[in-house]
Amino acid sequence: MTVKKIVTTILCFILILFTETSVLAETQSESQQMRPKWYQLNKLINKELRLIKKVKKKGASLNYRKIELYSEKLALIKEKENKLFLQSGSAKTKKRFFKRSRRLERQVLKLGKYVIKRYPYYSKIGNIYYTLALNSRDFGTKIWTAPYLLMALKKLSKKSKANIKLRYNAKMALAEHYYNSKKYKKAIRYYHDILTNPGDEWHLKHLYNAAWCYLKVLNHSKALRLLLLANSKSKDSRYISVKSQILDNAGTFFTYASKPRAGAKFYIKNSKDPSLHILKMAKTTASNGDFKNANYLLNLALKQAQSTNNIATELEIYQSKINIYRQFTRADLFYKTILQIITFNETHKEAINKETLIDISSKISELVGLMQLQLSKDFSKNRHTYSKRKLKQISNFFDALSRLDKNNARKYMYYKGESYFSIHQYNMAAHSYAKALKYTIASEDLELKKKILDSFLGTFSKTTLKRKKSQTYLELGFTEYIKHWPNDKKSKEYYKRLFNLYVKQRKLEKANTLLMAFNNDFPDANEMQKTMMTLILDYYIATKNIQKLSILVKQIEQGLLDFDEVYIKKAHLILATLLFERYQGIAKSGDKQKAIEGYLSLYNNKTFSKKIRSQAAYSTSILYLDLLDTEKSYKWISLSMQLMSRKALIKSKSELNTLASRYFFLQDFTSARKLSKTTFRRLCNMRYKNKSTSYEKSIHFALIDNKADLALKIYGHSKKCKIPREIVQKVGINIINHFFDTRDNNNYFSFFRANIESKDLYETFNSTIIKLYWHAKDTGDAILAEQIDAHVIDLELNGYKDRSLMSFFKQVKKLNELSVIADSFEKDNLKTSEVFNENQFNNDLAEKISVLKGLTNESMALINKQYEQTPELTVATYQLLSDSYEAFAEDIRNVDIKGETKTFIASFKKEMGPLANNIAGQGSKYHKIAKEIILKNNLFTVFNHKMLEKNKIREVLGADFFATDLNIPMDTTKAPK
Amino acid sequence: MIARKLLLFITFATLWSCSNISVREVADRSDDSFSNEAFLRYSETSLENLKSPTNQEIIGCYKKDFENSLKKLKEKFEARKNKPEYWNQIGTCYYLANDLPKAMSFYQQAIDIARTRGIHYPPPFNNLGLIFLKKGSYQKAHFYLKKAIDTAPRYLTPKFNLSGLYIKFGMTNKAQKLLMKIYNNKKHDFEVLALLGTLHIQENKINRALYFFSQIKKLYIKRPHIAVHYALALYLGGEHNRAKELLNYDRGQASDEINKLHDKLLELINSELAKKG
Repeated sequence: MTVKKIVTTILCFILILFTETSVLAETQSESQQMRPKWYQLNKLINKELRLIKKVKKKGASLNYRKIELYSEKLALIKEKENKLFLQSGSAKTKKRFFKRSRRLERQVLKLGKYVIKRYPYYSKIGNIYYTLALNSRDFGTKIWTAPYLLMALKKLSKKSKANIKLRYNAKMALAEHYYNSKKYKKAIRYYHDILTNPGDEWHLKHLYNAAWCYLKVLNHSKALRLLLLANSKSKDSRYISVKSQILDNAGTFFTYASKPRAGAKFYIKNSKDPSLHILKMAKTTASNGDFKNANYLLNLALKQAQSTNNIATELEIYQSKINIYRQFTRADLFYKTILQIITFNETHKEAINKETLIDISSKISELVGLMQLQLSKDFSKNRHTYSKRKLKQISNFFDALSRLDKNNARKYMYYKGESYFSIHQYNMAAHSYAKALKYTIASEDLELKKKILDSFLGTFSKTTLKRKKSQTYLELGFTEYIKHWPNDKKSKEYYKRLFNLYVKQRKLEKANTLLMAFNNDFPDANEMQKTMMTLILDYYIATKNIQKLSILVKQIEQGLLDFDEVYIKKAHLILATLLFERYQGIAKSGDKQKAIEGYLSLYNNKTFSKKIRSQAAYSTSILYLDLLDTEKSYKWISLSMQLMSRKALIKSKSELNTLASRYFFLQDFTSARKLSKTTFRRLCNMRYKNKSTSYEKSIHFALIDNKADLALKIYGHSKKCKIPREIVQKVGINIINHFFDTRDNNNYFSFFRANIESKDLYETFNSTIIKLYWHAKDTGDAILAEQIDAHVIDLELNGYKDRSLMSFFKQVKKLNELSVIADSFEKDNLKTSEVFNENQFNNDLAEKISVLKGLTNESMALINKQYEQTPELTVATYQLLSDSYEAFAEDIRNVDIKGETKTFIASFKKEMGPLANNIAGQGSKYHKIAKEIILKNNLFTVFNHKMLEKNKIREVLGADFFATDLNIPMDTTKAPK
Repeated sequence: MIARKLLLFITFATLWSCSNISVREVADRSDDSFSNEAFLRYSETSLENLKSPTNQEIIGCYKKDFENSLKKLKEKFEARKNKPEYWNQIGTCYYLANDLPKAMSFYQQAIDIARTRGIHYPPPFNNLGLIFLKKGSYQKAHFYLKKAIDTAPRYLTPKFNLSGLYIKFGMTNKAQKLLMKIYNNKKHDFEVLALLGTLHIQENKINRALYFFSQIKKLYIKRPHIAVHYALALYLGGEHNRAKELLNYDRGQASDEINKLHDKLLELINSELAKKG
């Protein structure tokens, strides 16, 4: 081929020099445009052919020339046809494109045969054979190549030096022809001749081809030797190098020569990048069944690739490795390689393209699939026993796959789970399904997800997982299922199961959220949802989670899940109870103000029942009381009471009474009064224990708060409110004493008048009005005295039925009458005329004695009528008698006798003396009795001054010693420091 | 709230203006027979020197700071509500503010607490006695003062108060028995001496009366109550000039009753002096 080109080139030059150019009559389109040189050559050839055609008698030489020219033309035509063929891009109609060259080749062949036959002794017959052989090879069917080359060698004389070159070329063509026709033994014969000529620049190529021929005839050592020879001469610049071909194929030679390791060394020595070559060798070695060396080469190739950082080769080696390991069923090395691939992939991101990855993964999948199948079969066959090692391998492969092919990790994990499931390793299956499921979370591969979930959730009844793990998995499974198939029938069950799981795990917030979703997806499951909600509420109640409970109760109230009124009320009550407990706790911890704020929030929340709000206000009141703010306490207890039912009020009555008392003792008399009044008024018609106490207190507080009118008004409700008589009596007595002690005379008399019929109060009215009477006497309080007089008249007119009091005032009246008589008696002195008239005097004396006797009798009668409780009246009566007797005795002693002698007067006085003394003695006797009564009864009355005769101050200054100015209140019983 | 506070203030102001509690300070604590029982005659300094925490509020009441003192007492409610002293102090604060119905109520509470706890605690009885004295309910006053003495006979204050009632109503023997017990314990209490002197005036034992009055330290002579009764004794003893001189005191602090006695006595003295020319 190459020789022909050279010849053609020389011919072309000759033609260019000696012939004029002509244009080939061919239409040329732009696409058929050939290089300019082509046209020149074509033109020259055509021109020469036309010249030869013109010669009628051509002879052997011209015909030979013609053969040569046509052969050249063949080359040009073929070039053009090739171009057109390549441009068409169609392989089917190849023959059509080469029609012309084939036809011309046949013409040349015909011409050649003609010349050979016509001129059998022509000296260049050998040359013609050679040309025809090459034409057959290059443009024809090749069938004439070998015979004509052989004929050429036969016809070309060995002796002719001119033929040496051509013979060499013919041998070379033959060698190549046999080589290409895989007739290696024949080829070797000619290569053997050719190789003797080391001067050929293609020498190395021939060595190389010869090496191949030896290889093909299984002379491996000879083949390797020739190859190494070619390699060793590669550095020789005389030769055209076939180094790359050597390097490409040396591996094969070494392998077939059973020297793979030497081959590897060869490559390491001769190649800049030996890894691929070594890999190739490894593959060949493996294909020869030599795993040991193949593995050695693989590892060496890998090492080389890694050392040169040849990522592509490294990947290729890995791929080869898995193929080879799989071929030799070395799962261990297979797995190891996969791990290496994973590491490689992770180190060199995106180094493995998608197709490669799929390829690798599919190989692994294929292997692990088989292993999985085998495992399952073995398990069934061997009574549920299995190889743990195999299982481990399968597991490892799936893990590796997941790492390698992350996009399909879910699938591998699912398969892994299935593997475990097939051998009844349910726990492990669950773990794998869970992983698979996790990988599907972001995936849209719902078909796979459903498969995984069905397997996953179906496994749990058979697992013995620890509770926590099991719960985690179930949560994952249910959540995913519900998420993607919320209205699926299974979801209804899963909602329930997941809810129960959350409740069990005390994840109530999640349970609640789930319940809301459940409600949304299955509104028809209302009853079940109510039960679920009750569970949540119960939990919050048990854990006293008020915040959550409040929110839920509010939602329920707003219609969530259609709870009935009774339940809502119950929930409210519980919530309130918890809130109360909480605020009580806060209060107990000392932050009363905060607790108050809490209670107020309850009170202000009108969604709570009146009862709860009332209790909140009540508690607020108590806290304010603790803070000693009685006014606010009262405000809130009032608000609480406004919301209280009667029943609640009765229930709280004791507390309310205590509260009122507390106000009182905390000196908030107004609040005490108001609260006790309100409590009593509102419960007036009700029967309850301590009602009397309430009655008593409300009146007492009103009195102390200076609200006498109110006290009397409440007192007046005793009948209406059915207060027991003895209580009414007791309270009445207290009211009387209060007015009396505080000298509230107007109210005293008013109350007296109003209760003139109340016999139960008579005794107290009597004793107090008598004391008032004497008090008026003592102090000379004329107004009070007048009030008493008027009141007594009033009592008479209104038929006051107590005789003792009326009797007292009758006696007072009588005493007053006697006092008038006594005054008159004391003033009516014994009178004497200008001349003493003894008879007249005796008459006057007798009359006075008679009056005194009458006064004495009446006084004694009065004293006898007086009852024990009025010793003052007795003293007053005795004082009256004592004064009258003393005055009379003094009168007798001081009688002025006129107109009589001194002797008479002396005799008269002597006679009258004993009488006067006797009367005075009687007066003293009465005085003494009065004094004794005073001292015995510790009477502190106006009579004391005269009767006890220790009243110098009054005597001198006309007023009493004012004792109260020196009063000393007592503060302590301990000595102050 | 503000209105209620204002009302409280006005109430106390009004009540105080009606009060007859006068300053009866004893300069030297050793001259105070009742210093262990009563703060009425303590000087402001002495009150301030009282260290006992349980007495701090009542001290304020004696300083006429009723509103604040009662508020402070209210604040001690929880801590002291079971102590009769506490209720007695509140009662006394109202007593000093002349709000007698409330004072009575709290004294009664003190009595109830003491009774419940089995404590012999005389102060509320004494103090209730004083209220009844003021109101002219002498029998009741006598009952409570006697009750105070019977509850704890060793205390002197109720004896002193009861002796005043006895003197007023001529029961001088009873008064003397009580007063002498106090006098024998401490002889320089000017009010005990004054009562002994007054007692003897009532008995018309003028020399004896003058004896006791003369023992009163000069510092206290010019106190209205003392001066009037001492002057009366001097008048009755014929020492008219001295009597008149004694009546020359600051009448601003005197009660209406004492002023009436003062006027009458001065009239008598002047009359006698006029007679003497």
